[in-house]
Amino acid sequence: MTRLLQGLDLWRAGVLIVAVVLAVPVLTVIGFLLQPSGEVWEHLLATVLEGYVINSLLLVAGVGFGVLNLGVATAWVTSLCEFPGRRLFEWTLLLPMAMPAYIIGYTYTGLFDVAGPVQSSLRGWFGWHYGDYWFPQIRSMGGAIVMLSLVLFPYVYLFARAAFLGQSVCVLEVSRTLGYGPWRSFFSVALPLARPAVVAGMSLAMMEALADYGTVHYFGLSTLTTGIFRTWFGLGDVAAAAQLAALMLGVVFALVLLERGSRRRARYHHTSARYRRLPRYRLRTAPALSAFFVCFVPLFFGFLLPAVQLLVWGLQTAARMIDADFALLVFHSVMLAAGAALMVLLPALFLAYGKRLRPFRDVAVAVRIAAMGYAVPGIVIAVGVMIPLAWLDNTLDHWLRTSFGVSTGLLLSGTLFALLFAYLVRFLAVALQAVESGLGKIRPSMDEAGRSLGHRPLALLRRVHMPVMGGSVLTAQLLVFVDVLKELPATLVLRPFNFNTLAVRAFELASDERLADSSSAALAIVAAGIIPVVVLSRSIARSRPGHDETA
Amino acid sequence: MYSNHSKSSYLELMLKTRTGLFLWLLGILLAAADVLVAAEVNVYSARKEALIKPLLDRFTKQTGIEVDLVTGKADALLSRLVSEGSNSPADLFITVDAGRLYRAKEAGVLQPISVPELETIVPAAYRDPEGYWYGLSLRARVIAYARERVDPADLSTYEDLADPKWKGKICIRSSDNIYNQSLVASLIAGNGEAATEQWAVGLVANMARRPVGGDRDQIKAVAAGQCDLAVVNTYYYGMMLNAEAGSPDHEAARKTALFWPNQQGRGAHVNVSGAGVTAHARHRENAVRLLLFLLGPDAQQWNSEANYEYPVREGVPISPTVAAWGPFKADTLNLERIGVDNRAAVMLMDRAGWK
Amino acid sequence: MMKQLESKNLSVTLSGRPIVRDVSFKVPQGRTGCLLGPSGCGKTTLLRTIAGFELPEQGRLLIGGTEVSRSRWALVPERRRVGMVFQDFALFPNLCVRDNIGFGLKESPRSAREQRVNDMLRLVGLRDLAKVHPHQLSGGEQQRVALARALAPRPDILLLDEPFSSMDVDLREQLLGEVRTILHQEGITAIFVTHNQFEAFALADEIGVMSAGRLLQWNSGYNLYHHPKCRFVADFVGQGVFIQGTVLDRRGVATTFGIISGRTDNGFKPGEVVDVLIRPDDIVPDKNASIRARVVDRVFQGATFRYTLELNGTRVLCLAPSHYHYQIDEAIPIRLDSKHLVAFRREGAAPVDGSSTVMHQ
Repeated sequence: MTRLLQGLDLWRAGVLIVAVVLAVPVLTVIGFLLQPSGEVWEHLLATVLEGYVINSLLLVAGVGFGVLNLGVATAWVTSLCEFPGRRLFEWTLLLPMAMPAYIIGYTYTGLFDVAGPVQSSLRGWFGWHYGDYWFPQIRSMGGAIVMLSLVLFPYVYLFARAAFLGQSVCVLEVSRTLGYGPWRSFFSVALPLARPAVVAGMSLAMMEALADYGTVHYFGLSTLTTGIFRTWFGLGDVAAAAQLAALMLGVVFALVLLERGSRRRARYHHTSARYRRLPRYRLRTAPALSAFFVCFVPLFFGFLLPAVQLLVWGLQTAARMIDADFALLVFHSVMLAAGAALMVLLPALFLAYGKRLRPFRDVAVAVRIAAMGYAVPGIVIAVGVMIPLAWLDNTLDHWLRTSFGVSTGLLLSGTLFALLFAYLVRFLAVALQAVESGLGKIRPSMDEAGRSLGHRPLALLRRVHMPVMGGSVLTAQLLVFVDVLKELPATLVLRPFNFNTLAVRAFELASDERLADSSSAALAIVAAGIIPVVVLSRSIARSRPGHDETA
Repeated sequence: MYSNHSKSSYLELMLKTRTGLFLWLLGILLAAADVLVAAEVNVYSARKEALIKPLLDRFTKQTGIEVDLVTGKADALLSRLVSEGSNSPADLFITVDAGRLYRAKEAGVLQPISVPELETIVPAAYRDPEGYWYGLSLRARVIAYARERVDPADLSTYEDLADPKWKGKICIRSSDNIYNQSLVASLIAGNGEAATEQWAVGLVANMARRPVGGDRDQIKAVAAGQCDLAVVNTYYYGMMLNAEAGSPDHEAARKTALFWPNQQGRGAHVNVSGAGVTAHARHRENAVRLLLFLLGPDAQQWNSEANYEYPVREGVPISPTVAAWGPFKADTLNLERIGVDNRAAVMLMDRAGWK
Repeated sequence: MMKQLESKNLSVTLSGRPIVRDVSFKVPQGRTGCLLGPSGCGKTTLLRTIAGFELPEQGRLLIGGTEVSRSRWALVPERRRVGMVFQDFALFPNLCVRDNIGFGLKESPRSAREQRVNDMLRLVGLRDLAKVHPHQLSGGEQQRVALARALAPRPDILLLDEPFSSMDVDLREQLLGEVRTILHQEGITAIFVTHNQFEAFALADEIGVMSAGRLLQWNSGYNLYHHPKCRFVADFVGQGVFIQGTVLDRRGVATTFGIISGRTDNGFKPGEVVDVLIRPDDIVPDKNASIRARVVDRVFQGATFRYTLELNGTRVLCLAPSHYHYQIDEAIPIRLDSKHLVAFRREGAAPVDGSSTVMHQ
């Protein structure tokens, strides 16, 4: 005869412990706020800090504005209008997500910079000299904002689209009976209703923009991310770098509040109860043409043009660049990404089940804390991982040496462990979300039904949970795989020596002014990035109004 | 089974069985391991692999000592050396600038090597006075100018670059870069901090654009007409000149020419790529051998030809490209000073607004 | 083989709050019981305790005479032989109908399992849909699968949690009939939970009305309707109004509408003022009657009109066949035709020792 357990609990304790461990990097960084500011910090404060902060904020605000416009326009047009090519645009508008921002930055620089083919041709054709004509400066704050907006607008697109589709068609029809034409309905009814979802998408995009290192470094902009790199390595002051990171967390925190608050409100804005196929406004020729361009322009500049340029460069340099070394690079990257994906899955499952089996407030809060990493910039995580691990290593080594005369050297920091841990902190949220949505398909009543039919909980795991969750688990793995493949700042700092990834190689070659050579690595990353786009697009194809859809 | 054999035969048979064989092999391996362990050297190099590996391979062929190469950014490598402490596997630390060598010495990760041969080969200015590090190759940071638009008679010194006549005409890379930091450090050593800060402010005012890109980018900008002058390392120019004919790099290099600054004064700013033996090196002897190899005439010549640098060793023939730039007067400042003043240089550049 | 379910003084506490208080009832073998009450009354918690998902604080649960739950202890659900049909059906989405039904079967020869599944499919009339997956089924079909799945392993009792709440009226009607047939045919001991009294009346042999965790009355639907033991039951079950009445003597109570006869000797004194329950079926139009009441409101219900009548300031409901077509404000002759006297002590008045607050015929 067994007891029904309540109370003392491995699950609960486990979840709390996992949350604390994953919060260590952020806590470490915040802890540095308590340290007295040294000479370097004073110097930063007096000279460049203001610039760092202003530039970061400018970038974030600019990208916010950019993605808002691009995302909402494309979402509205594809969800509520009918025009030639709409069906294709529905999923291809996600393709820019496959492009890491730094890669698109290199590509456009190579194309449009002063010494690049476009300007050189212009000068050649018209006999101009530099300074005779005006041409937008790609490597500038404006350029960075455009780059980041082009690759990040799909976040807003996805969220806005879900919101528009989820709105009860009745609401829009009511506004028509009250005399509002399609445009007014959009601005006065649909857009305000969708606002929380749109803001949530914007916050995610802005977090990514804040965390970007590759693009801003290449464009020569001084932001908080480049500032942290420079203070850490240039001035050699880890403490000051950590303090900069803590400052950055302040901005991140504000963005997270914005996003969380909006998501919560978005839930209450779901007005539809029953599914009804949305009638689409059939557009006449002129509006249809503009709708087509509204969708085509971001797709072209965000994906098609850079992809083609990369292909051209790739083909030009293939003979030289694709060799055994490149194969090794691909192998390393793939192994790392796959390993990280697997490694992230276990904690994600543990936390998801923990939240379900122990629906207590502290468990839910702990899980949210554990999943905060997506908002923390990679470089901040790197700082927060390196310091405690190095301390742990040295303390352990010292203790072992004095007690047993044995030296263990560096076990954690400087090995793949540090890098994988950083990936875990940053990407747990991605896996967790996918796993939770899969678990959500298994209602608690199914568990109870299975038990009333004589099966123990573990048997249910095998016979019901695993088959039903299989798809979501796979999606989770894919998303983490691609995210790790694209990740740059944390990888740059934490990777073991002689361990290069595709992202690092592309960055190094581009920084070394070998843009064409970097294309093969860049293409590999983009190709991998298309996979989650395809996965997401299938979920779009199956989307129904009222269905809970997230990025 | 063997009961009817004597004890000694038992022993013989054991030696012939699998266990025996295994024990033999183990013994041989243990004996060999001693030899194997001795025949290697671990190198942490900020020098890119492609630029140094051929030399290391040659070393292995010549001496039979295996070289385990680890590459990375100098700052990251240094960071790693510091946190590894006595557990570090590195034997030799190679950088591409003297400032980082100085920093490594200050951080306590290098050990002094006093070998007379090393001291004779490397001129005093290009090595640490106490023998903690030795320069392996030399490069200068000079002015590249647009052939069509600039008369070299108007060029003179680095200090002149702050003159308002060059307003909007200068391209230079970011203050992030160690080469610029070293140049500024050498100016601090030469002219004092206050004067250098004033100079930096003037330079920033003369910049044609916010610093972006590397040295090659600056040369291309000069060729494209965005600016008239750039400050670059000599070897970049050499690489571009020797790029494929018709390629953008080659075309850009052809449109520019090099000028040696401060020839009437203290001389052009030079820097070294150098190496030091690590404080806890386990293969100290092999590291020194490698150092000596890299300073040998063959290695020095190869480096000059492949990487367009100047050898530190006297009497070594240099690459024709490099030779074409002619002889020059080099700043005799002990490169240790570059390291000493590095942090001051960075902060100075921050204050002057040099991004 | 189906068994008897017995609850003895069962109390269940959740998060420190008592949800089920001292509930006792018995469902004999092969009979259908029902827990009826408004939301929040504790009926679902009680059902889940019977299933083994909650622990009782006090009291005992016995199935077939064997104790399965007692204070702070319960046999785990997997070991009880209790089948359960859930409100949302809880079918496993990854399994087809056949596999869902066979999920709880453990008989060893596979042919025996297949035979049982086929029997169940035939029982609920879903033989054609054996290979189909749940998301392709309609609500009614899903419920039938859930029922078959719960019955397949031959449980001792069957529990149903608001089984028809997610259906529209017609489907509900149809399924009520089918389920009743199956339950009787197979001799299943069942207990289900609902807030809908018509479901309760249609399906259950005995119904327990619950409020605030207590079981107020456990009886057949007829008796609950005509002999409610307390005011709540009288209010909750069926329609009706309370009107003032005066106890006449041992044999009746006088009201505005007439005299209702019934025993009054359980503690009620002559002359005492009581509240009398008048159901809509107690008032009948009678063209020979002397009393005329004024029609204040009427609702057409197809076969009947439900009139609200007023007499001397008192209002009652009257359910009349719809060919009695009266207008509003018309004074119609009516007669009190009540066979059951249901009267309660006025609220606030203290009961005399030993007597109840209600009298019945």
